[in-house]
Amino acid sequence: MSSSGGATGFKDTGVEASRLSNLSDVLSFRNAGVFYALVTILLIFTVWVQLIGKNFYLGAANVENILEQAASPVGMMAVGMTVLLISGNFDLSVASNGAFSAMFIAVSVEHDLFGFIGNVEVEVIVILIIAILLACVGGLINGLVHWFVGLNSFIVTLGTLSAFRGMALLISGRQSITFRNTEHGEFMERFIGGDIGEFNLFLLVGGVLIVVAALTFLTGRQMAAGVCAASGLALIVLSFLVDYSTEISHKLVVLVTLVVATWAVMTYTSYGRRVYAVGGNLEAAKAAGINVGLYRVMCFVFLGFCCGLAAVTMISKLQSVEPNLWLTQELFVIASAIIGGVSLLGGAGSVLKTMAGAILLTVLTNGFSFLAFPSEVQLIAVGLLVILSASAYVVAGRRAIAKGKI
Amino acid sequence: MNTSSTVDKVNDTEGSAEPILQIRDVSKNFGAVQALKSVSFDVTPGSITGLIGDNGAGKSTMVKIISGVHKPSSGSLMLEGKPTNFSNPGEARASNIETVFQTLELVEEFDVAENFYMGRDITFLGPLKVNRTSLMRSRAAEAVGQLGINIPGGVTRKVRTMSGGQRQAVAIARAAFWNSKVLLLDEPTAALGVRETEQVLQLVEKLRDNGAAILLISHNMRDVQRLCDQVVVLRQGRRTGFLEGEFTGEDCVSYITGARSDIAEEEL
Repeated sequence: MSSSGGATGFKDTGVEASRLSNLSDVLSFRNAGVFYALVTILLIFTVWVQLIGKNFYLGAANVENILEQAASPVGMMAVGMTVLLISGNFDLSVASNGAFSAMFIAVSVEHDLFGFIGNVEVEVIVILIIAILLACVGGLINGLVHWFVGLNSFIVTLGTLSAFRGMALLISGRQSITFRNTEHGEFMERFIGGDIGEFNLFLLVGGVLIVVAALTFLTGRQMAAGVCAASGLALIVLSFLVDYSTEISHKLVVLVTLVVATWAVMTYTSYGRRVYAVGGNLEAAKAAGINVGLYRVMCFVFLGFCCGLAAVTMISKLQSVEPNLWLTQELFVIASAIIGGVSLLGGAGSVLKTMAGAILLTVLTNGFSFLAFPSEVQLIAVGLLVILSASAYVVAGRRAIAKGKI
Repeated sequence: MNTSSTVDKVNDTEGSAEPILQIRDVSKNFGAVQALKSVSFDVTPGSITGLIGDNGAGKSTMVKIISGVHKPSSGSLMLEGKPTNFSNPGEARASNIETVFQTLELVEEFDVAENFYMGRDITFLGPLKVNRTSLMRSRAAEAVGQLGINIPGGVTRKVRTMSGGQRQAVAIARAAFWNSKVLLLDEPTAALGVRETEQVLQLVEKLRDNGAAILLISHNMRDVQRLCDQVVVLRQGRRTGFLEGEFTGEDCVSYITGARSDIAEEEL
């Protein structure tokens, strides 16, 4: 690596000036709109539910419920979808891919395909790993066809949406499979389907924020690290004052790990920045010597990996699969990313905001269920939310341009 | 350095500096179409060479050959006296030939520093490749400051929010930042306003004064007249003119249109 600039300390005032203005940018609607929307909707439901005299909406039990619902499959798949959208591509086949992976697990257990190993625990682990690898291969197929044939990813995955679902039906013989109360099922439940125990949510979120702050500090963004660490510490202190405890499942731990790791890689590593570059301007990325084909294909594979994780965590808990598992869920996965402000054109977006989008969608259905609204009303509300949020981003973007702010 | 007693002297630049890049009898065919026919010229450190001509004269083809996008059908490129043969743009860049295309090739969602280091981040923690963001920012800020480029908001300003002139300046500064010995600028002032054009021209002059060898492709005869120490005119794929010292925009135009030519019309 060579550069004409020598290693010196800060001397450009522009860097300092823009750091100060960063705070107002960070808090702007354009940047943080999805968090404001989430808080607003939570407040509305809390007041509403209180008014009709039901339990406290934000009670620990219901918050756990919301997080569990948001985590899988939509939350996990949305992590990979965000990365793929940032790289400038699109995937409609996620739910089918995950369903095939889940069906593979069920069929393997039901027909004891790995019985030759002779040890239930090893068998289960092997099956789960192969299931995740199969989902990765699904993503790889999408990526290779897109990159080497040069076919638009929308069309490729429209095809595999159908094909993967067909394969799931094929291997299951169009039957639902349940393996509850089998040896394999019991180990699976203990291994990944259960809870890790009761935790204070404030303590947990505070801990995650401290980790994020440490990562941020390492890369030299002291101000962002400070804000993160301060809010993390505040939550940890709060956790000793307020008992806000709930059961935390393995699934949630997997999701939080996936989200934080993906966010850190996308934000702070060369790999992540290259994904943004590839999606932001393909020709520029090529000219900068980035292996754009590799990056584009790997983003498909990573999304496949997320689908595999969703399948593994879901089936370990439910221990049964129907062939129509997750039918149309891909739409909610994509909706989460859009509500979170990910650009369908590529080059912009954040996993954290997508997660807020996924939680927002879940809160909407959960809240309407709390209020005993019929499901058709929920669907209409979800549809309107997608259009509204996307419109809000467009309008906010235009305003910012008109003001000369961006 | 082993320069060329055998090669005929093409640009007689008063022997002030050794040419760093020598183009020798380069031809390029695309099927039956002859885009370039036996074109030769030199690019010298600390001076600006203009490459002008009408649309379809072969300028873009020449840029693409020097930047490694195309291979010449015949003829050779000599970099610092040694024959070179680029099979892709990466190799040209590795040999310190940087090209600023008209498309600029900036990522709009990235800030200035990120665009500078795109694909070449400084990282730590080995294979984890964690970016040293503040180090890259301060280096980019230093380079931008040295070139006298004034971008309000500094190197953390996103390109999306910048004017055309600022973008052009960022793209040129990035090319210069990577220690380029030869800088190809493809129409740097096209589509810029008067003030922005002036800023970009001053930047190019500054880079020349810093010792870069610059090849400027331009349609703007005022820019060419002001900046270029020598001018190569292409017409129908041939080098039909060469101007240096005192020349006017009209001289350039008469060569471009074919009113004047160093090659007889019937030979074209």
